[in-house]
Amino acid sequence: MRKFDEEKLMAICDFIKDYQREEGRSPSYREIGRHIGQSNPGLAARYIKELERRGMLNKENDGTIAIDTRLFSGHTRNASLVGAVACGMPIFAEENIEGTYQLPTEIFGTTEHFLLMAKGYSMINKGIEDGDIIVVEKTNTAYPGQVVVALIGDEATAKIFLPQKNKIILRAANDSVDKDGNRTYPDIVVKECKILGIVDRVIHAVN
Amino acid sequence: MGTYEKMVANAESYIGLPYRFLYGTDEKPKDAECFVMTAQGDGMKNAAIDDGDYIVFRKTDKPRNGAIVSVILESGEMMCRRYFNEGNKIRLRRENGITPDLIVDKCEILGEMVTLIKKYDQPKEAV
Repeated sequence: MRKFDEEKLMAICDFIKDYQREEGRSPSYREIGRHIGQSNPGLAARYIKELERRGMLNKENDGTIAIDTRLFSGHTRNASLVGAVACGMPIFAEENIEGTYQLPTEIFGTTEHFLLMAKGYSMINKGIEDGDIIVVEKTNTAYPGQVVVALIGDEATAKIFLPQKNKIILRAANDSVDKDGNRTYPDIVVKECKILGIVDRVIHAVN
Repeated sequence: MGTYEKMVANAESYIGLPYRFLYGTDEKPKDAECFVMTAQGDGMKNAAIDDGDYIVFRKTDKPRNGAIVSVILESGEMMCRRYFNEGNKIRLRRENGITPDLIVDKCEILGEMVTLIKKYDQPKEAV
């Protein structure tokens, strides 16, 4: 029985797992061969067979290496990161989308979302800080008291939604006042406003 | 196999997250190995971590002072705590304002928090 270089065996195993995680597919035998400095894919094949024998990977019917099923236990939904100020165009206009990201449904569910970068500290008491990514569930309606993303003029902004009889109050969640006792973030009172969605999650990166 | 490798091998699932969410940029960082845990209970509520939040940790055994870490005690217990290196001792703080700090000689750090994914409790009907 031919011997296997244990170190090489583990290196191949790690390479395959990392590759699957990064690329979403398995590497070819040739790529695996290159990784261990062997141009001959036959050697890679021998090692892969051994890994399979040890139960460390599975093969598809066509001989390719099966993807670890846990990698795709969840699916993703696309969400666009929109710029807060649309400068005259619709907020979801192509020109105003800074990027599209895949949200794993395992965390974010399957409802339709968009993303918005939080600016400033007006919503600090509701846990939204400057630079956070707000994950917004797309909807045109909201209940009173919910934190919505509404369009005020050209700007998409997160505020507490407080509809009154013949007006709508959009309130900040920051009680700070200036030296004259006026609220730093006064209520925004409008006749009507367009609700873009309600806040579903907040992604806060530690710096 | 080290503790971290064992944990990864036994992971419930692998979740893909955009680099942007973790590092604030779309570029792939040099050191990108992360793992995700869900917060359980309110032991870290003063650090704005609530039950059910997802915590993303970057793998490291040398966290910054004051970082939130995933740590394993010598007893084998795994926990999430704020980390302070005090020379020959390590102080682990449960951020609930009640529990006294845990001071240990040794512990194994798995990673430090880079991103918190908070679920957002909205009132579901008129208030």
